[in-house]
Amino acid sequence: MSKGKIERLSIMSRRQALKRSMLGLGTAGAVLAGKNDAVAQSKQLKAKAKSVIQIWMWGGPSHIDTFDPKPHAGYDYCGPLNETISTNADGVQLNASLPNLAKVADKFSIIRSMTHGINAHETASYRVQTGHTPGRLVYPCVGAVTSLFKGYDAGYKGIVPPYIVLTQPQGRFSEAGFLGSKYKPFATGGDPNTEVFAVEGIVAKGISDERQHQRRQLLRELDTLDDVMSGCEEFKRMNQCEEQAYELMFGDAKKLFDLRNENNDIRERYGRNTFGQSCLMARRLVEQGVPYITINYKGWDSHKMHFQSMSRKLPELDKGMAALLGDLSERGLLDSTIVWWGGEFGRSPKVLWDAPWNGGRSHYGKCFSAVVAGGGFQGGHIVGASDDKALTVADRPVYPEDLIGSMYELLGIDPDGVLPNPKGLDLKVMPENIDGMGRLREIM
Amino acid sequence: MSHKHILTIYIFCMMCLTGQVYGQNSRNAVSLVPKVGYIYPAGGERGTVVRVMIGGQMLRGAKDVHITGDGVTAKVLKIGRISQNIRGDQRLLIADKMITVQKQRMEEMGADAKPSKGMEKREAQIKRKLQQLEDKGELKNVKIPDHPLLFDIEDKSLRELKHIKEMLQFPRAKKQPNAQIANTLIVELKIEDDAPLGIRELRVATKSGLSNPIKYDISSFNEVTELEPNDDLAVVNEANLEELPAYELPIVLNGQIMPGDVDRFVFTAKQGQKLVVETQARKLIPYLADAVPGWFQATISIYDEDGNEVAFADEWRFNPDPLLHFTVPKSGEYEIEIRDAIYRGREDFVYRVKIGEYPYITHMYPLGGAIGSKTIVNVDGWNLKHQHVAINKHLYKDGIHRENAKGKNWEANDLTFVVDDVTEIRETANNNSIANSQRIVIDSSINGRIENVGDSDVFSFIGKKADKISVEVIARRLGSPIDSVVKIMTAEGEVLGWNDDYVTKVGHLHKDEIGVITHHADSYCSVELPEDGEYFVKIIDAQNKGGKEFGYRLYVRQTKPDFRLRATPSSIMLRPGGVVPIEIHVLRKDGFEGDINIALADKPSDFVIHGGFIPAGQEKVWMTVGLQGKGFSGYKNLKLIGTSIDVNERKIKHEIVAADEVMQAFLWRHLVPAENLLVMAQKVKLQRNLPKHSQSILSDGLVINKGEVAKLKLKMNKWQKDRISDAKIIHGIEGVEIAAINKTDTGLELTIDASDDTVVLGRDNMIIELIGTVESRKRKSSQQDGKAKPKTYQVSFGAIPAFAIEVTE
Repeated sequence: MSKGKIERLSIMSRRQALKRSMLGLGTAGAVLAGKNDAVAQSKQLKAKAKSVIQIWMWGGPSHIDTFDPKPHAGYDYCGPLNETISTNADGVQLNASLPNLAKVADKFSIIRSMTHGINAHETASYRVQTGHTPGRLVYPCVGAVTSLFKGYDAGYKGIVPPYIVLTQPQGRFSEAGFLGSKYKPFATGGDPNTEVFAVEGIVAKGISDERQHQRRQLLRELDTLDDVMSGCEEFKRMNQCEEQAYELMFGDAKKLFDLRNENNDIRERYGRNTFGQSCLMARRLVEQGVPYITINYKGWDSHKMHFQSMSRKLPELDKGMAALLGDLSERGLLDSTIVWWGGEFGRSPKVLWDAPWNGGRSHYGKCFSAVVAGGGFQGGHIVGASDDKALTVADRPVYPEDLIGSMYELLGIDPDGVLPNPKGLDLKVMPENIDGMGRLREIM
Repeated sequence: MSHKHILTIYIFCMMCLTGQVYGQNSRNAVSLVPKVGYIYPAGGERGTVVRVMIGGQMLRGAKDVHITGDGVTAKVLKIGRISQNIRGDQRLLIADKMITVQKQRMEEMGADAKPSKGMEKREAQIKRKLQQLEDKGELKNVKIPDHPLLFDIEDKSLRELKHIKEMLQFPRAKKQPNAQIANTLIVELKIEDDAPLGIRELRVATKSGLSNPIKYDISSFNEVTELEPNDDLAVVNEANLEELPAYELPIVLNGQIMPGDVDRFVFTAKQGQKLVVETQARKLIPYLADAVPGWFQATISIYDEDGNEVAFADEWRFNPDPLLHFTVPKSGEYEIEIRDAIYRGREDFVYRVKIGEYPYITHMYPLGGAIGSKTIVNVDGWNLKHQHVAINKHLYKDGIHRENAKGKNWEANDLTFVVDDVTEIRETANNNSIANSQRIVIDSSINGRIENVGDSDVFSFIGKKADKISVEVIARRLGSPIDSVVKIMTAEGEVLGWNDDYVTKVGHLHKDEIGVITHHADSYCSVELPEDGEYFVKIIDAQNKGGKEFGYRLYVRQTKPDFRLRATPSSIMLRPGGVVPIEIHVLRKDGFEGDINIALADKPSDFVIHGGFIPAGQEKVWMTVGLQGKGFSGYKNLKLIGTSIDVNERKIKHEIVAADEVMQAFLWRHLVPAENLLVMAQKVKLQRNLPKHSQSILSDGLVINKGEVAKLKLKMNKWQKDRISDAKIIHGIEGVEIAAINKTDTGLELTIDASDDTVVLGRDNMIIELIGTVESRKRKSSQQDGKAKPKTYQVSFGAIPAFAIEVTE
C-alpha cells in the first residue's frame, strides 16, 4: 500500500511538472480569442449555397485534354486527344474524352483563364486553396474558413465534422493554417469502393462494436491522469474530441458512411472506382448538411506517358463527376451545393515528346481551367479565354482569390469581413486581387 | 504598298530511300534518336576487359559505341529490355536453367558446396511443372527471354546467380516505369594498359542517330561490382555461395541503388592508414530530370567490426558527392554502406566509391595563372608527397580548365583552374580594411584567400570619373568553398555597388559556364565611377567562414563586354546533303549586346553551316549544320567559333563549347559542357536519282511584312515531290506559319504566312522540316479490293538549311 502511495506521489510529481507545461500550452486556447466574435459579427450575406464539394485534381489536370480543348493546335499540343464534343450548352465544347459531362454541361460553367504563374506543387496548392501567396502568415484554405464560419462555431450540429476529406489529406500544405487544428479536415481514410468503407476511427474492418466498447472502457480505466487534472482545458478539449469520435463510431455516422445502403444502380452510375464512389459519398454528406467536402483525386501529375494515363483517368472522371452533377440536380441539391473542380495548376499544352517524358505534360500555372457548378453559380457558361494553344490567358484573367471570394459570397461568408488570426491583425477573409477583374459576377 | 517575296531556295535534300527517319532532332512526335540514361558499372580498371550495361531509350539497332580519348575500344554484344515482363512459363525455364548452372558451380566447388534438400525439392517441382506444360503442348514456342541479366548465364558464379534472382524478383510495386532507361545494351570495353586515367565520354550510335554522352571513368585500381543481396552482410555469407571477400585496398566499388536499397561491402584496413573514400554519383550523372533532388544524393557510412559507425558523409563542402578522409583507428575489417539520402533508387542511381591511401588534393592556391606560362600552385590535401604542382604550362586558351594533377611518378584527382591574359597579383597580408588596403591596378586578377573566420580582403585602385568598372569573383566555379560577397566603395565607405550570388538565367535555363553548379556563389557587379579618385573593393565570405581552402580570383577590370557560346546538342548524325539543327546559346558578360557571327573553325571542312548569325541582344539562335561532298564514315569533332566587334572596334573571338541542355528536378535546365561536338557521319553511295547537295542559300534571307505572305520555292526530284506532304517549322518567328504546300514543276512551293495577330516583329532563323509518306518494301496492310497494299509510314525527310527571316512592320 505504501509503495502504491509512494508511486502515487511520484506520479503526482510528474503530473505537477506536466501541469506546469500544460498551463503554458493552455494559452494556445487564447490564440484565436475573438473568433467567435468574428463569426457572430461577420456581415450576414444571403447564402445561396449550403455546401461545397471540392473535386481536387491532385497533381494538376491537363486543361487542354478536358475543359479547354484546342483541336487545331496540332499533334504537338493535342496528341491523340484532338477531338471535341458538343454539349447541351450552346457554344460550349469539351474535349471528346468527356462525353458524359457533355450531357450535363448546362449545369456547370468553365473558367478557362485561371492563372497564378506558379509551377511548384506546394506553393501552387497553397495559392489555389487559400487565395494567398506564401508569406509570414499561413492562411487557412477554403475548407477551413468554411468550417469556421459554417461549422460548430456557427451552430452546426451535424453528425459528422463540418469539413471532410475523401479520403487522404493532401499533405502539401496546412489546411487549417493559423486557425488551428480545430478547423483541420477529418480525413476518412479507407476506400469507398471496397465492400466495407473503413473510415478511420469510425469503421474498422473486423472490429465489432462490442469490442470497440470494451477498448474504450479499458482506456478509461488506464487513464488516471484525467482524474487528477480534470480542470485542464486541453484535456477537456481532448475529451470532447473523444466523445465526438465515439459518437461518430456508434451513431448515425456509421450508417452514413456505409455505401451498401445505396442502390447498386446508383453506385454503378457513379462508377465502381474510388473516385466515383467518393463522389457518391460526397452527395450523401451534402444531404446531411456537411458544409465542406474535399475529394482528393490523385494521379494527375502526368509528367510521363501522359496519354496512357489519361486513357484510364478521363473516363473515370467523366463518369463520376457527371453522375454527381446529375444526381445532385435530380435531388434538388445542386442549387444549394457548389461543386468546384480544379487542381493546383494545369499541364503544359505542348507535349514533351522526348525522353524522359515520352509524351508527358509538365506543370503549368500560367493558364489553366477550373469548373464551378451549383450553389448560385449559373451553368452552361464560359468565363475567360485562353489563346489558340491554351498557353496564355487571352481574356479575363481569373486569380484564385477571385474564385474563392465568389464562393464565399455564395456561401454567405462576407469576403470583406474579418478573418480571425493569432496576431490580431485586421485581415480580410478574402481580399480581391487588385490586378484581377474581380469576382465571377458574370456567372453569379 | 504590299509586296510579296518570291524566293527560290535551291535545296537538295538527301534522304534515306528505305523510309527510315532521317537525321537528328526530328520534331515530329517521339524522337528516334538514342538517349543514354546510365552506364553500369561506370568505370573500369586499365588493362582489363569489362562488360557494361548501358540503359536508355531507342537503343535498338545499336551498332557502335564511341568513347573519347585513347586506349579504350567498345563492342556491342547484346540489346534487350531490363524491365520487360517475364511470363510464368518463362520464369520456370529460367529457374530450371539457373538450378542447372548452380549445380555445375557447386560441383566445381567440390565438397564445400552441396545442393540442399530444399533446392532438390524445388528442382523437382519445376521439372514437374515444365513437364505438365509440355504435355499440354504449351511449351513449344516458349524460350528463355532475351533479358540483359540472363546474358551468358551459363558462366555466372553462384553469387552472380543469386544477384540475378534478386534483381529479377525485385518487387514490381516498388519500381516506377521508366521508359527512358528501359532499353539496355551489353557492351564489352577493352581498356588498354596505358589508357589515360580519368573521365571519358561514351556515346551509342544507331542508324537513327548518336546519343548524348555519358561519363565513364578509367582508374588504376582493382574494380569490384556489387552483387545483391548485400543489404545486410550478416545474412549474405550463407552456405552454398562463394565466400564474399573482404576487399584489399585500394579498390573501386561499383553499384546500383534500387528503391530502398542499401549496399554494403567489407574491406580490410591497417591502423593508421589515411584513407580517401571518394564517391562518384553526381559526378557521373549530374542531373536527373524526373527526380527531386535532381540527382542521386549518395551517403556513405563506415562501420567497424563491432557495428559502430566510425565515419559518415553525405556531401563534401558544396558538392553532393560524399568524400571522406578516414584515419583507420584499428587494423581489421570495416564495412562501408552506400545508399541514397532518402532511400530512392532505380537503375540510373549508379555509383563508384574509391577507397585507398592515395593522393587527393582538396584545394590549391592560387586558383589559376597566366596564359602560356607555367604557374606553380601550392596544393594541400591528403596523402600528398608534393606540396606544389605545375599547371597551365601548355595552355594558350583563356578560360576555365580541368586537368588531373600529376607529377613524375604520381597522379591525383583533377584540378579546376582558370587561365587568363591579365596582370596576376597575389594578395598581401593584413589587407582587411580600407586603411591597410592593398593597392592594385585595374585590369588585373587578384589571387587571394579568406584565411580565417571573419576575415575580409580590401583592395584599392585609382579610377577616373565615368570609368565603368566590373568586379568579378571566380571561386566556386573553381571548386573553392567561398561564398563571396563583393562591394565597391568610395574612400568614405559609400557603397557604389555590391553583389552576393550572381546568377544568369533565362526563364528556367541557367546560363553559366560550368553547368553543374547549383549554388552560384560567385559574385559580380559593375559600376560607373562618379569621379576621379581612389576606390576600394572588399571581399568577404557570406557565411562568415574561412580557411586556407577559401581561395578566390578577383577580377577588377574596365568593363569589357564579352561573351561565351554553347552549342547544343553535343552529338549529331549527318549524311551527305543533309542538315541538322543545332542551338547556339549566348552567355553575355559585362553588358555585351552586339551581333555574333558563327563560323567553322577549320577550313576547308567537310561541314557547312547555315544561319550562323546571332543578332544583337538575342540569347540564342537555331542554325543548321550540314555535310558536303561525299561525306565521311565515322566520327569527327566539329569546331565552331563565334566572333564579334565591340563598341571600341575590338575583335572578340571565342571557340564554341559543346554542351547538352539537361533538366534538373522537373524544372531547372542547365547547359552541361561536353568534351566536344561529335558528329557521326556515314558515306552513302550516290545513286542516279538522288539529288546532289548544294550550298546556294539565299544570302539575304526572307523579309516579310506583318500581315502578309511570302512564297518559298524548294527544288527537288520527282520522287521526293510525290511523297512530301507536310512541312513543319522547327524554329522560326512566333506566329509565322506555313499556310500551304503546293507542287510545282521543279519541286514544292511553301506559303509562309505572317498575317496572324500573334506574329511578333523581329529577326531570327527559320528551319523547316519536310514530312512525307513512304511505303514499306516488306510490310503489307490488310487487303483491299483483293490486293495487298504496301504499308505506309509518315517519316521525316529532314530539315532544310536554316535561313534568316525578318518580320517587319
